[in-house]
Amino acid sequence: MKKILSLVLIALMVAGVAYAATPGYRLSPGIGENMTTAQGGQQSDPGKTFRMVRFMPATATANSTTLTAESIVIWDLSSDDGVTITTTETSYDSAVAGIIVHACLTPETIGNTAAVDRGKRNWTWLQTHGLAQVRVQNLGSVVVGEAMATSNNEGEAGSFVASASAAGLNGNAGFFFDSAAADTDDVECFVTCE
Amino acid sequence: MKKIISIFIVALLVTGSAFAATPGFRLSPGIGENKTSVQGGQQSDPGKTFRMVRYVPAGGSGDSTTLVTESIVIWDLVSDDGVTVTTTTTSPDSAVAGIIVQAALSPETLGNSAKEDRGKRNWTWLQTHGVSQVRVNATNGVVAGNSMGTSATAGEADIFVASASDATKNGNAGFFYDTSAKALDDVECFLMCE
Repeated sequence: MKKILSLVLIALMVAGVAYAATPGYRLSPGIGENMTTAQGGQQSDPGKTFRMVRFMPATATANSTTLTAESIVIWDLSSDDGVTITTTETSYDSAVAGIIVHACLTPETIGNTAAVDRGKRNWTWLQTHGLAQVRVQNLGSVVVGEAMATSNNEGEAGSFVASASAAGLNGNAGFFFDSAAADTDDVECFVTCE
Repeated sequence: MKKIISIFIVALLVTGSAFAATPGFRLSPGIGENKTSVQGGQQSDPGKTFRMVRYVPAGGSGDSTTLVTESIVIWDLVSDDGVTVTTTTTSPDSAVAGIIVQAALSPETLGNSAKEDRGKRNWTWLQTHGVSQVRVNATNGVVAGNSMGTSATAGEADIFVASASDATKNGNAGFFYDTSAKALDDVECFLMCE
C-alpha cells in the first residue's frame, strides 16, 4: 500500500513539474489584471470590454426611433451621470463613449434619472474596448488604420483628426480595421474607449 | 479553562470589530469595478492591465528575429482579428496597442489564423494600461510628461503629437514618466491603451 501511495505521489509531482515547465502562454505577466483569463475566453479570442448603459435620445423624445446596433455614441452631457449615453452630430466629439452592440429602445418617459429608469427598456450594452463593427457616415469613406471618431451623422463614425484649437473636438475612439466606402454598415474597427 | 477560552473568543470578536471599523483604505469607492481589488494586489501596487496576444512580424518572415521585451506595438491590420500585434514604422500609428512585457518569438508558420496558432510559441503578454517600461527611438529624446506614440523605428517609442490632417497618425499610447535621451531602453512610461 505504501509503495502504491509513493508511486502516486511521485507521479503527481512529475506531472506537476511538467505542467509548470511548459513555456510560453502560461507564463504570468506579473502583478496586474490578466484580461484574457478574467474574460474567460480562449487564448485566441480577441479581448473585449462591455458596459451596461442607459440610452437617452439626443432629441429627447420618448417612444422615438430605436438606436440601431453598431452606432457610435457619446456620454450624455445632460444626464451627467457616467452611465447614460446618447448620439451626437458633432464630428470628433470629445465625449465619445464607444459602440452600441445591441439595438436600444428609447425611454418610455423622458426626464427620468438612471436610478428611476432601472429595469426599463432603454438599457443596452456599450462596447468600450476591442474588435467591433460600426456604421460609417455618408459624407466620406474611411481607410484601414485611420483613427475613428463620431461624425456629423448621428450614430455613424468617420475618420478622426485632432484639433489644436477646440477641446470639445478631440474624441479618438480607436481605429478602423477595414477600408470602407461612405454610408457602409458592418465596418470592422477597434474600440479604445476604456 | 472555559473562562480562558471565553475571554479569548471575546477578545477576538472585539479586536475583529475594531479592525473592521477602521476608516480609510477599506472604504468602498462606490459601485463599479475596483481595479485594485480585482487585480489581487496591495493598495499601493500600481494597477496594470495585460492581454494575451499573438505576434506576427511586420516583415512577414517565419523564424525571424524575436521581438524584444519593452517593444511598443500596434494591432495587426492584416490579421484584422483584434488579438494579433505587430510592429510599425509609422509615427505615431493610430493602431497602437501597447507594450510587449515579455519577449515574443516569431511564428513557426506564417499565414496562420490566431485560432490555428493557439498554443504556438508566438504568443506573449501585451500591457495595455499602467506603469511600464519602453525602448526610446534613436532619433529623438523624450521629456517626462510628453505623450507617447510609436516611432519610425519598429518597436521603439517617440513623443506623440496629434495630427490635424492625417487620421492614420493619431495613436496616443500614454505618456513618459521619465526624461530620456534617444536610443535608451527601460524608460518608464504610463500606458493608456484600453
